[in-house]
Amino acid sequence: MSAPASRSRLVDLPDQSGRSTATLLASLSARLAVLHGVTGAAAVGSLVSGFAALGREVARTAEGARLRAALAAGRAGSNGALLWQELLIEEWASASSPSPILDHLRNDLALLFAGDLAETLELMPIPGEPSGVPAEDARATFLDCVLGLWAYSREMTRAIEAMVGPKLGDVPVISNAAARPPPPDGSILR
Amino acid sequence: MRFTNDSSGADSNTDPYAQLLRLQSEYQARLVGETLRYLKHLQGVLGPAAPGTVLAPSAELALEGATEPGGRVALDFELENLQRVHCMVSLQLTPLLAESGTTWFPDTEPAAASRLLAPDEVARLGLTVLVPTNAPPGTYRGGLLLLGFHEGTIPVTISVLAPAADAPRRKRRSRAARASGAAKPRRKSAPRPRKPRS
Repeated sequence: MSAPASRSRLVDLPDQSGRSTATLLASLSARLAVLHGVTGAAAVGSLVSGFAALGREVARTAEGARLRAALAAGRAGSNGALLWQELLIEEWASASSPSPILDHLRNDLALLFAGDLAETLELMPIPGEPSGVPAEDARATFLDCVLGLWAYSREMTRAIEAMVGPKLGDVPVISNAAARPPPPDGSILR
Repeated sequence: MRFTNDSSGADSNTDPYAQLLRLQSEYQARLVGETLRYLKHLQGVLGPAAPGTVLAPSAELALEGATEPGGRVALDFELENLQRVHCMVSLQLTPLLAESGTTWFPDTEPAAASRLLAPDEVARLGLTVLVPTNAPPGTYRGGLLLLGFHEGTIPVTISVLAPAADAPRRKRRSRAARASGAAKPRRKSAPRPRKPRS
């Protein structure tokens, strides 16, 4: 039976090797390896720049645009922008390549659900690929970073809820004391 | 040529020493900026790849709905995960624009629908758009996108219809007026021409 023509599809990026347990594992191990070769400022700067890049994307949505406008209208928005300009945080973050934080989160989440993780771990070390994509020249601003943090934390919450899934219903709301195993007998616990 | 560091009485535009300093500092600033930019690009190219996802929307798919102000429009579509691993999707609406120039930042229920799709899983995803009571009638166009995906937007068109609440009320009034024997209310702006008596 063929799929309906109105169905949309999630596919891999055309110029990459695609999302599989092996490539996701290679990406995670490469990230961990790179951490030993870069400074803390470079790593944190890349993360901050990544949050700002996510914020710029979120600002294109209706919800994100409203949130950004509300943030900009308040004192927190102007004070934050002032801090970023005066302490040169904006310069520092803008000079760092944005880390694709949402892709990282989703890829790491997919590894937790992979059915062939144990077999793939036996193939380690798997060489990682360089991204091959130059970083965009957009500036990292305070408002974009805050918006990115908001979107990232919401995605993280959903990811953890997805990990729990329907198993949360199996955990009893009321734990019966009689059903619990007896405590270990010993003088220390008395 | 005479170089001096005494700025008194010297015009900075004509003083060659001042010009040399200005050019040199501009050059250094530009050099630092371009080096940082180059290093940023290099960092992006050499950094570890993060395999991503692309939404390939069907060419036939366009989400449409129509309702009156205060109503709701449900938008839903079918999505299949053709990747080999799980994928998290989060639906987001872009601002909607009317031909009149009105921009609508719609509220949705849930605020941002999300779903974890297993490999080869097909799911029906959707959200409900809440049309505000003061929305001007018109056709609003925008897009539904999946946050964080590199490409792909599903076109969305929502028609806000003119409220038809006045029509039945007017009918009821005229029926009551007829029963009481009162004259029909007429519009002041458009008086009806009298017919000549025969």
